[in-house]
Amino acid sequence: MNRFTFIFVVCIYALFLIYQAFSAITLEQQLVYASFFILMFGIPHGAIDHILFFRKKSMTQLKFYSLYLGLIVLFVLLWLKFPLISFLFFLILSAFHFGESQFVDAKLTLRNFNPLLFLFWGLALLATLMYYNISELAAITAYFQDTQNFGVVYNEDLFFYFFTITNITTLILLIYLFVKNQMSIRRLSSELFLIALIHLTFFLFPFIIGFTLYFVVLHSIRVMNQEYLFFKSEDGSFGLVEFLKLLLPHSLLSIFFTSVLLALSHLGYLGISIPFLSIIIISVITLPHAIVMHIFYNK
Amino acid sequence: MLLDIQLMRPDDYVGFTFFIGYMAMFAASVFFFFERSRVDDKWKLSLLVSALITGIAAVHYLYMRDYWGVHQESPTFFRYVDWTLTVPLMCVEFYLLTKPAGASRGLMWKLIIASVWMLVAGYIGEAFNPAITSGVASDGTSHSVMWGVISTLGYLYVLHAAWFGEVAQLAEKSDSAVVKKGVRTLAWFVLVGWAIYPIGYMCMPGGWLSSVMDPSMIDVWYNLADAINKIGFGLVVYHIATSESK
Repeated sequence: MNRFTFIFVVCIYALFLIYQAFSAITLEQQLVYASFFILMFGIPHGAIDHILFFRKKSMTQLKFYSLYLGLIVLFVLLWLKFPLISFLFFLILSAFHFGESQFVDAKLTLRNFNPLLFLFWGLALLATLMYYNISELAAITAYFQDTQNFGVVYNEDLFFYFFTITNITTLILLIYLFVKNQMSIRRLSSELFLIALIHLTFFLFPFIIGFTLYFVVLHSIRVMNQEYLFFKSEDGSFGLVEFLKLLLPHSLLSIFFTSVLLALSHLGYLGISIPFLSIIIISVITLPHAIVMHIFYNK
Repeated sequence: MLLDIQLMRPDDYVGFTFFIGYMAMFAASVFFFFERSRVDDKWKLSLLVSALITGIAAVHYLYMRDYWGVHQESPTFFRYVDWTLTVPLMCVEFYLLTKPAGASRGLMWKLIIASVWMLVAGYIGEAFNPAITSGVASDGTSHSVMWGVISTLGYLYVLHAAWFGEVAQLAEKSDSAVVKKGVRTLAWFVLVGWAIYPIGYMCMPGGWLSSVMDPSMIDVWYNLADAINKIGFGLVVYHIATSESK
């Protein structure tokens, strides 16, 4: 168990007691709390992509921002034209990104094998999240007109196969790494424990709370820690205040524009429901971020 | 004499596990006690503590088995008396194992206080729940949550100490790879094995998890977890002691 898993365990116990006290939390309350934590931790973890990129690659600022923003615009267009394909692409992209950030410190040397592990670990995570909450997801999706298209994805039989295959494959891949001396027994047991913990979380808690807990604690805070340690390794005097100063400008900018877009949607100017808009915003931010982080982890 | 023996139905899994738990703890206690002679002097105290943990539990399981047989209800009182004596002793094992690496008595007392804190708060939360007297589950919510929070703080302290705090740091400093690995295994017991207790707490009638886990089956889980945790803890200590005595 590492420190992030410990924080995760503490959060689970805290949620146990919150649920013991209130027995149920309404969807609106879940959305408010989840948005708060995602804005506080999720956005900052991708707010220094530009700095990380320039530490690893040389490119003109104009070219970088053109590519970064160009990818965002392209993905927005894809969403507007082919929402279902965009949604599936987003799931696969996120899965790979989650898996990559999970194993970056594992020092795996089978380079051709790694992408497979990253992808399946992330797919297993998303499949587990969706499988345990499929009826809740289907209800949320059916509630808004522009998300009803995604309803075709929520087929229980399909999800059962997806859930089973991705989880079994991930376990096989982890055991294979152990057999090939790529992973110690200590790391393997930590990974298996984490998978069990994720299953328990996604099974017990609603979709939004389960995902937020994973995304904030096991992904965003973990990635921010990786970023912090990178700067610290470059300059020993680098501290938390300097790190927060680095995160602040682009975080505030992202939070401002996200809030404006959500307000426009709420006031009916965009003609897109808030959940659909949220998925689009999260996914278009994720695409260039995942690419930058892939470069950051591999260079 | 035979008339004194309680009738046990074949499907009384709670009674069955009380019986198994009692015999397993008793056997483990005898084993640890006699095996003391095979290890170096510095490990004798650790094995004695292991024998005490399972011995105390065996006595309580004997009482709990009979209590269950007569009343067919969860023996909360005896269970907490057992835990209040044995769990601090498990914390003493952490101290004894890390003592050669420089563990202070202060660490031992901190762990003992945290574990007693956890159990006393848990007992108040479970045994003095207003829902028991009123019969309305919702009456006990604020009581069980408040004492649940207090109890969890004690648990998290021990968990943190075992994984990242003083115990973990001292184990890392230890010259012995067996001690390092052993303390890590004991930390797993605290993380996974002890998790059954807060889960059981939330399975009380009216508790949040009572819909997930049948409250009448919680004694079965407690009994199995107790046997695994206490005997398992002792076996890890035994493994360290015998490996280091070769």
